[in-house]
Amino acid sequence: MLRAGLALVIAVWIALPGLAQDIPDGLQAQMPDVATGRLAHILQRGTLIVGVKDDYPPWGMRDARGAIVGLEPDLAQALADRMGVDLELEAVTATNRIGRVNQGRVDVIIATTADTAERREQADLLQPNYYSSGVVVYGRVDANLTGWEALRDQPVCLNRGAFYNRALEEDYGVQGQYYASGRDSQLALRQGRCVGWAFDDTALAQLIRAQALQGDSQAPRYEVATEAILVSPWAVLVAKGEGQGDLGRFISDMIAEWHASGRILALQDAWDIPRTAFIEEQHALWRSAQEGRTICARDPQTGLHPVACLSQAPIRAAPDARPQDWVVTLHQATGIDLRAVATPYNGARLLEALKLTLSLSALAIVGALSIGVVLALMQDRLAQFGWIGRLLLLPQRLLITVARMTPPILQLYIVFFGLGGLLSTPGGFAPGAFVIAAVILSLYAGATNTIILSHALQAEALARPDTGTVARLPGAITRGFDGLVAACVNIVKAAGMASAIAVGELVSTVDLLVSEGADTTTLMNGLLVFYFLLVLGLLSLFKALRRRLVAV
Amino acid sequence: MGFLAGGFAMNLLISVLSMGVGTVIGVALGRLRYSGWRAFDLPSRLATNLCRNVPSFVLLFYMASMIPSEVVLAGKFYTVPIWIKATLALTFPVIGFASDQSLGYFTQRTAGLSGAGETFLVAWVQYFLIIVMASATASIIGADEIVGRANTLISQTGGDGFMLTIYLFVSLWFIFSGLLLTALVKGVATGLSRAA
Repeated sequence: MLRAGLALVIAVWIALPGLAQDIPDGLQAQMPDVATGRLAHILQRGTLIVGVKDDYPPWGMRDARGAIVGLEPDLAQALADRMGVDLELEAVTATNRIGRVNQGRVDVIIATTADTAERREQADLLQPNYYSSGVVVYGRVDANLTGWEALRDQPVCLNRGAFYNRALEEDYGVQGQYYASGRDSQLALRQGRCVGWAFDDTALAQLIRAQALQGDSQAPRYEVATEAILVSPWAVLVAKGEGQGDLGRFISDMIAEWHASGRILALQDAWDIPRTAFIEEQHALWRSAQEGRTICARDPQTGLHPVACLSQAPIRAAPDARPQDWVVTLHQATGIDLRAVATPYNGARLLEALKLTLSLSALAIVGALSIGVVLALMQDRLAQFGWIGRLLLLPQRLLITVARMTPPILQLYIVFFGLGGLLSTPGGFAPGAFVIAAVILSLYAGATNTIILSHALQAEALARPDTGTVARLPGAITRGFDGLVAACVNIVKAAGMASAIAVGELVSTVDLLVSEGADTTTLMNGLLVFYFLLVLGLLSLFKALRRRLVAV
Repeated sequence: MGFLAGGFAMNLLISVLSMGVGTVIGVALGRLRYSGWRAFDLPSRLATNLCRNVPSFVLLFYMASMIPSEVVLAGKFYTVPIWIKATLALTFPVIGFASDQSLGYFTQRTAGLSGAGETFLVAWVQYFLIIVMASATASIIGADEIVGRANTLISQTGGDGFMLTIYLFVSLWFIFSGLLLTALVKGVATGLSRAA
């Protein structure tokens, strides 16, 4: 299918001779005679690995056979062809793309990445920029959203990892609901969990067009409800330190060549994307010549592209206040880097996340233990009534089996996106994400607790046959204690999964801060220490409880 | 169908490997803790605490960034597959669990409590199930398992109804294998108690 897509592009290439223009002097990208660094690594491997989006049609999407195709995969193919190596595409998301290129899992990222000051510190963003987009909000026509002011204090679905999220919350006052991908944000919007979805104008324009083509008059209509803000160019990424190496220089030259030859314009046409002013301007700019010399060619003296040909230094999504003195001292003395975290905005977010994690954990433990005790007692009692009891126990058995044997992350998806959609009325906010997460986590661990306790009750019945069900409970709890504690600890540790349905708990918030440029080592180690202590505290609590129990 | 089955095979591989390796190490740790040798007491308790307390959800991110994705041996490239990283992340909690559980087993056996072996076996199977469920989160770091493949299918096709169908279908796979596992263990436990 990739080949078919390529054939299409080549066909358009031939059909539009006006676009496939010659390449101006000094702008033909050439591979170095002897490659070094990552480029040498790629040549030796014989494969170029490029990270692209697979949920951003038609820049990067899956075709019917599951292969990734789109405008950006075509650019990746052009790079591989010129290098003379095979191409391997890997799907990446806004939150993991920078990590993957720095870890070396992919060589290059061409994945709708906006060029920001923060990202330039995290990876090498190549110049010139190859595309551009702004942020708009997409919402229901009947919601009557009239620009950004109408969205103040309103829940707005955001894709985790997008650079503009913070500016939208801080400067435009929206209440961000964070989802893992565009697909999830879109689903959440359709189910009325937010009034609008903030995303790139490029992608949403495509969505509106697709909706117009479908022409279903019954379905609610959606529109782009605001003007585009925070317009920023897109950059190709390589790992930190590779930008000025052979790989970075070669790709920069390729992008310059694409602009000059009109290749990206041709690809826009081939993928049925309306031409944008940015690409047309770049095309004109990179073709411009003065006295027979191509203006934008690399300066033979410095080896750099002229500054006038490159985009201006990127906007800072949100300027940070100067860190407090103790934060700086701590960093210098120990290497613990809290500079990005100790701002009022991020500090408040972490505190909020901490509160959510602790309350979700506490609720899940209480819920799981109560469910375990109640269901195990019921099972023990009803089992004494022969086949009638077994019949009465059937629904409970079914619930336990389903709750215990379906991965909680799937349960969250099914209840939140699937059943939640059926329950919610348009515009209303039926069962909140937090409640759903608490119930599912309680049921999941509660089902395991039920099994442990019923087994322990049976064992206890054999040891002390003359006692009743309730009287055997303390003994049963003592017997199954380790298992119960393990299940409770497990549920506290699994609470991070709630982030899949936009509960902004600690793990996902830390991940979010890291993707926004906070120090990875400090935050990840901090998270480990936090959980270590939390579980340690929890275990000593249970130990104290057990002593009490034995004393009784 | 075959596509999803292939993904589920990956879930099982990850779970079986981390359960196997984790149990062996964990039981050894538990035996050390039970032995009462002073020299081993603190290190084995500390190791257990570390393994038990750190969430596999966080470890997944850790392994993804700490282990290199390619190694060069004698000029040849070897990719470190993501499922190995996921397996490692899930092995740690198993070690913690097996250490605690085996300590309980040794203590109960010495105290002359009946059914210590059965208690261990039942808890172990519960935990195996938990690990199979946790293997579904490996898709977060890009492991090619069943939930990741389901998400691929959904982003290919789209539509709310389709999404729900796929997710329900995937959960059937987990439920079915869970039931199979439980039935198997019941058989074994019955066999054990008859033998005793």
